[in-house]
Amino acid sequence: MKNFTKQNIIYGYDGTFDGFLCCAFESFSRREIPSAIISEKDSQPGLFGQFNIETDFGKSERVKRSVNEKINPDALIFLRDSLCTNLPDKELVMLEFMRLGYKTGSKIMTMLSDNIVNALNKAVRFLYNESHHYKGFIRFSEVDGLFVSSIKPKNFVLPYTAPHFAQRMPEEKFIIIDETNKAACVYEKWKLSLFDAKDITMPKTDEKETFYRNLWKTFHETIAIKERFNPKCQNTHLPKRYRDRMTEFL
Amino acid sequence: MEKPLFTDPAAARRMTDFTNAHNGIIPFYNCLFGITLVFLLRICHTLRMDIFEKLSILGAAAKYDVACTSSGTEQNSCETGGMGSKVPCGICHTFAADGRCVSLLKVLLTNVCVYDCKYCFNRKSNDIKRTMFLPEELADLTIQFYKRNYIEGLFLSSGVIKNPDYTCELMIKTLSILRHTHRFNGYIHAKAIPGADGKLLRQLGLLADRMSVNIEMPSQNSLQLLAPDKSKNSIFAPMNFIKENISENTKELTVYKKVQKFVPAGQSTQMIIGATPETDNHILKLTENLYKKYKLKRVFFSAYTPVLSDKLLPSVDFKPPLLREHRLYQADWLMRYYNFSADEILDEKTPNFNPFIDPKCNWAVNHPEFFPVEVNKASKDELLRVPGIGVRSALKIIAARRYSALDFDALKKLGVVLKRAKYFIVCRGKQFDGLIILKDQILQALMSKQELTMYKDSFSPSQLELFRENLQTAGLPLPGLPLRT
Repeated sequence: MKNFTKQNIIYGYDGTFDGFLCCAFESFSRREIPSAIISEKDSQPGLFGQFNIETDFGKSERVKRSVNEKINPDALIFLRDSLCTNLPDKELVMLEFMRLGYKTGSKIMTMLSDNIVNALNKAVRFLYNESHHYKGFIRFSEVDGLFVSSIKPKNFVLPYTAPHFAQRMPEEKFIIIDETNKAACVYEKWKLSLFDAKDITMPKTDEKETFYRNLWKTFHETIAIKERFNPKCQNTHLPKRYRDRMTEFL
Repeated sequence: MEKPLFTDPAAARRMTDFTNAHNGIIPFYNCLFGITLVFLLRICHTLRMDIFEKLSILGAAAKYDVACTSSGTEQNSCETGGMGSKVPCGICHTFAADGRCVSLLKVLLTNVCVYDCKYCFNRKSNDIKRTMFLPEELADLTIQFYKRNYIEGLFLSSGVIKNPDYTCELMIKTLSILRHTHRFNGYIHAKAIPGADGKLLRQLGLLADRMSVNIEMPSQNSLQLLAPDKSKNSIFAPMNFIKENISENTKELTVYKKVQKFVPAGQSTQMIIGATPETDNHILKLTENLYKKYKLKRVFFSAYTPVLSDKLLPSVDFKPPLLREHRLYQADWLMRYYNFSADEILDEKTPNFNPFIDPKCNWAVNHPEFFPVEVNKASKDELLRVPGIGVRSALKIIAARRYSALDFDALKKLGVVLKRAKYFIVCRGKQFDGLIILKDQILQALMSKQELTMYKDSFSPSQLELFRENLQTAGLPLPGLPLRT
């Protein structure tokens, strides 16, 4: 097998998982390791030496099949999840993971002591944890029958968090706006869809909304036992970065 | 913002009937009874009691109940319609200033109570403002909070108004409005009212996800002393009833698909720690029995917080024994997830927890014959006995070692806390590099920062002696490891 060589080349892709798999396809067929892989969202147009890779579903399907067969189906899910994390240069790490995976086969998923696997695993855990946190910490406001919420997560949590709310209130309409990733998740009538979203201003709260917010705030203050006051413990469980959107802390 | 709760006269009449029925319990209204005009004015006042005030009073009255978990069962509304879902691991929606998770809207239906339990804030003889949620009102509040994702569901407890059966009926009414009118599928934790009729308890259990009966005090004597109106039987009878119904329901569910679920998330209980003289060993044995005999999902411990002064209770400046509560929870975890038995954790000779070191470390230093454990060969149970290895890291070790032998570096990546574990393990026969085993050092290394500060601050002669004794019983050095003194 011919060895991979490091090339001074930058791959550009559309930021989707299929797009990434096409990058992987290029990298494997050209036997080269790019110096960076940049998604459309972060890239500056006309960057010198950038090689834009078109998303071709035929190619991405081939990569999916080969990962499924030669590595392990869990590895494909693991890669998909890795792309939603905030790990720096995650695409390069993921490529390295794939190269390692083709060498070792299915056991790669338990090679937790390996540096690459460990790095990705940590990042994915963080993504899962944050997604779980947001299931509790998101606050909706009712505006004319629509439930609106905005979040500022570190990872791309929407695909992991929004389905929970679709199961939680299937008969309502809601929208969750992700400021970090400039995306929004809209749910209506058993259909969940993801959109690009920029510069969305949150609607004003009406009297009814303020009423329930105040009630909730009252409850939150009442429920604490003052003899057990422990802000350190509170901070550990509920990091301050979540609080600027939580109605009880406003 | 003031909001009249009732605008229609029919509802106002219902409330009048209701208050009439409870006339004997609300002494304030007692003297007014008969003077119809004044009476009606008063009723109007009660009706207009601000919902903010109600929520503060009934929320504050419920806050000493510890259980606020929403775990143990799964459901979503996609197939059934309506609103609400349940996630097996539970979801915390916020954390209060005392660091406790807030998952459910935890309130009393009413703080009116016919009992006079000494430790309880809502006891009959305490002169406090009494109020009550109307079933419709509370159901609506729950739904509004739920839609905004403030809560995972409702925790409904209550003072005993009129009699246990009547209280239970009111709770059933609230829950059935939630379940049937609002088609709410979220989590509901209902407190079983001791002394209520079996039929009512069963109805309540069919509406709730979890039920609990608080055993309140860790022994019968304490219960008799502090809760004269409750008997051991009045607590254990409903607990047993719920257990029987759950096991029957489980059997039915295996045969028929469409049987209504009875308390699918199981039952729990709680007891107050520190108000009475029971030892930790006693409490732990009791806990173990509760898990075995009544198949409880959780036993909660609540450090006694003085809310009232009474000659039978600790003084009002008594500090809640938070560390003791913490140790009990640690031991509880050892019993539920680490296959420890109560006997292994404490015994007659050492009836109380070591304040400086957690129960698992304490067991480890007292059982040197068990260590060191070879990480690459040990069974899961053996790994779980090592301080610094938890359930998750034990499973990871077992998965990872199938492909390559593990060294200390690998263990660190798997999430093992080497700070504690390094004294008790070997990797491929090798111990941790540069490990120096000095008696005092191991114990200090096993302590958390907080425990260490406490230990260093505690050099008063008597406590030091206690600690030295512990060091001696620790039976160090560990076998097979060189000791330098």
